[in-house]
Amino acid sequence: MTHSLPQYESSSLPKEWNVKMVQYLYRRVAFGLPYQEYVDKTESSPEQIVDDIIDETLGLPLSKRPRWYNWSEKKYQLSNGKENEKLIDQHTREWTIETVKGMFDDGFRGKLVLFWSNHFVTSYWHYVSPQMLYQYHRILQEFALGNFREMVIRIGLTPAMLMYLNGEANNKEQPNENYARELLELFTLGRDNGYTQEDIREIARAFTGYTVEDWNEVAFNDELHDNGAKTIFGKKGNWTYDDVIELLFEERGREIAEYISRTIYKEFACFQIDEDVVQKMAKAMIEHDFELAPVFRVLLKHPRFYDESIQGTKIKSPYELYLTFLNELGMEIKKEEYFYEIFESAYYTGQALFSPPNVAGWKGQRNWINSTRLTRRWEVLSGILYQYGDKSNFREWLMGVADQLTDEKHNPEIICLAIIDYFLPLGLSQPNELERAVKQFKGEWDEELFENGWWNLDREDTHWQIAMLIHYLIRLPEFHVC
Amino acid sequence: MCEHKKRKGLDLSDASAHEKDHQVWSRRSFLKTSSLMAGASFFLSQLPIASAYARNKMSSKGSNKIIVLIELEGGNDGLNTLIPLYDFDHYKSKRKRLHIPKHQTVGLTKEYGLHPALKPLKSLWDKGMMKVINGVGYPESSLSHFRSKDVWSTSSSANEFLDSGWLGRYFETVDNPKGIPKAMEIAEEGSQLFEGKAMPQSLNVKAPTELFDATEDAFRFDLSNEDSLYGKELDFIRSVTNSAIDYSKSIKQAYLKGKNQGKYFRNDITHHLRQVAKYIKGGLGTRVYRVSHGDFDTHSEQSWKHRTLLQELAQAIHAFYEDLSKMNLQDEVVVMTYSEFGRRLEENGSEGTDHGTAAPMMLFGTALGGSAIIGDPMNLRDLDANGNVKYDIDFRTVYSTVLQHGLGANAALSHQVLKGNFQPLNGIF
Repeated sequence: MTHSLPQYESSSLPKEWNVKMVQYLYRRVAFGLPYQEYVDKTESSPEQIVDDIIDETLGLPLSKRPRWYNWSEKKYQLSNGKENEKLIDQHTREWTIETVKGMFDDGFRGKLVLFWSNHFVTSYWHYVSPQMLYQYHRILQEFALGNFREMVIRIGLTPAMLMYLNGEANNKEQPNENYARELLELFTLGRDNGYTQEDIREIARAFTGYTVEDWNEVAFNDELHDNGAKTIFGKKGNWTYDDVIELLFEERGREIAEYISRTIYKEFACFQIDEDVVQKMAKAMIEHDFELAPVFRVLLKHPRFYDESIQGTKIKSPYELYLTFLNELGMEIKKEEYFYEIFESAYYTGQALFSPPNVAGWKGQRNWINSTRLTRRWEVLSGILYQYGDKSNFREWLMGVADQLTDEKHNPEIICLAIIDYFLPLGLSQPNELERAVKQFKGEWDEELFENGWWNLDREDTHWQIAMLIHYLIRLPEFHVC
Repeated sequence: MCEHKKRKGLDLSDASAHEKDHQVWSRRSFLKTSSLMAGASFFLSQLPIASAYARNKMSSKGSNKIIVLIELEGGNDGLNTLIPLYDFDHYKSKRKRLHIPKHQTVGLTKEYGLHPALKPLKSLWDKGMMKVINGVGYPESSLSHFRSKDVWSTSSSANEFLDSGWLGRYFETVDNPKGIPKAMEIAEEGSQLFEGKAMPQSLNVKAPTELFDATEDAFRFDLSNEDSLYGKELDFIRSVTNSAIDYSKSIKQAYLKGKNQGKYFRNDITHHLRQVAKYIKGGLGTRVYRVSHGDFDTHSEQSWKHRTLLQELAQAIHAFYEDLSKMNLQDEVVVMTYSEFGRRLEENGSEGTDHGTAAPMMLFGTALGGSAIIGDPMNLRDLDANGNVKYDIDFRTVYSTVLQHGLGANAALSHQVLKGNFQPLNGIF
């Protein structure tokens, strides 16, 4: 017996606008919600919710800048001349926590920051500076739903990116192609999509002259810059950094819009591309001069996004898996260390924040799953269930989870189904799974208890039964998709 | 924390389950004591070394070798790995800052010397256990890491896009004994090369006893074979779950049975090869292992980066064969390195090198029957439009050699797997 929910009627969007659909939307664009918030959202139309999500995100303030944001390298020097590594680590940790907290608190924007950090990839270990991390993160946050061209301009001149892809070492004597190549291949156009090795070489020349000074400043050194003429996309000129980006978006705007729309579609909708939707997204992108918000409005209001055939097709990344679980369990995160534990757990299962394995980023989807990662995901989820955060009210908390999902007290199967329905996007998919689930739930209680109706959910220790059921669900493949 | 009383069944006295969860959580928590993430991958897979057991008889004979692949990720600079003494002045003129001085190279033949950091490999060369295949690449080589990695993993041509890997396709045709994984990866990121047309053919295991513990309360699943995207993704996760359950016991047993001997250094590649040695010595029977090493993408400050990577590699391979030879297994195991591409002849302005094309591959093991450099010297004066050397030997002929002479596949199967008639190279095995 689940709560009866208001049904939303619409010609293009899903007719059944209920908790399951709201859940689907929020698992995709954010990291889930607590149950009651899902219920509340069923009262608005899908269009309204999408507009709210986007408008709220556009209005969010940026993270408050830390007191150390402009510290130079010197500030970390100890009296003996050595680097104060402990303090560096502490500041980096602070910003790591800020980022994970952003995912939990800001929902969609947190998801976008994570998404863009996997698009404009840098790796912390190439720069090891809290200031560089801060500046990089700030651009991702500021442009999360802003103007894509502007983000390209700005991200390329962050110290983190200049360090990671050798922009700071790129000079006119012998240019370094690293950034120029990835700018085209990964950040804007996609592999082999409208550029040549010649373009890469010439863009590298145009990008010469930038250096990173003292951990937080980017300088332009005219003597290191190649002033000669360069031919890029067939156009000859004395191109500079700004010129190249302008040229790139002018000459290859269509390709960029399609590539970025495809990338967004893959991440938020489905790994199998629907070219029709992508074209609509790309059109919105071009019409709005590379603003991202209209692109997301097109995608998230498109009936295709809600189509049954793509629900449950996304394999959750570690952050999606853990934060959604926390949210849906209605857990509050009261201490900052708890965010750091999530960071560590994600790292442990293949998603090292701000340090993807290479410049192409995490591949995602099936790559999140191998025997090591999958079994560790189970362990982390169990850890969250049993030991994470404040568990002083363990019973009360678990009973509350079940209570809000069902009014049933006596029939274990109905109780199990309500809990299963809440955690698994499309329910159980194999017949023997319900039997197994109920068996887990009944535990070692004598079957007679249930047969004679002596058992009910208010008995002592029944919260352990709920825990054991969830313990079982965590290990089902259905739990790992959304 | 730890307010809960139990988790298994409803017996309040089940303290061992609590203990296990506690261990799980605290194993993660000790990470906190290390700085942000430093060395965590090494740390996490550290496990106690078990005592020795009797050796299991190896079943592999003849062309049934165990192949250990070492991927040099990021594009290894072949020209500073195997230094072209045959055209040294020209090489030096293109690499004013990065060239390896002639007198520092470790001489293999009159024409070639190794990077000094590879010195530990010299003893393998002297024992007749090392072959280098020169100028390996493919037509129209891609300068993109990711495209070229795909080409090497899927064994495609430059303009062909395949989803399955060459070893994935091979292993789909091979039955394995119960409980014995066909292939294993000990690497942070799995490789496409073991992707089958339907299911992955390898197991990624970083910590065998942990894997075993974690599968204790997991269930096997029947595959649904549903055609929907959802059904296929679930089946994928199901099959990984099943593999973890099916293989974790024998993996753990072999791991505990095999004992490392000799001196190993402390770094990731060594640590991973040590694990491979334990599985092999423990008689696991897995045919192919993959470990990875890198980042070889040395666009800047190449000198020290490359030196460090090569030194770790050489020490690891040397120690690995020392270890295997204690059980006389050096004849059973062939190590092969590969990388998505080499690097450009001319250095860039940031003391690094940009993406290149052809490069040497290295193979090790007594099964090779003598040391040699295979293939002609690369022509450093006949470059392509991007200033890169031209390839001489197609990497698929090397794969064909491994399939036919190393793994015992027949020619027809090799052609089917590699999607083409690539004749194995002579003089490798």
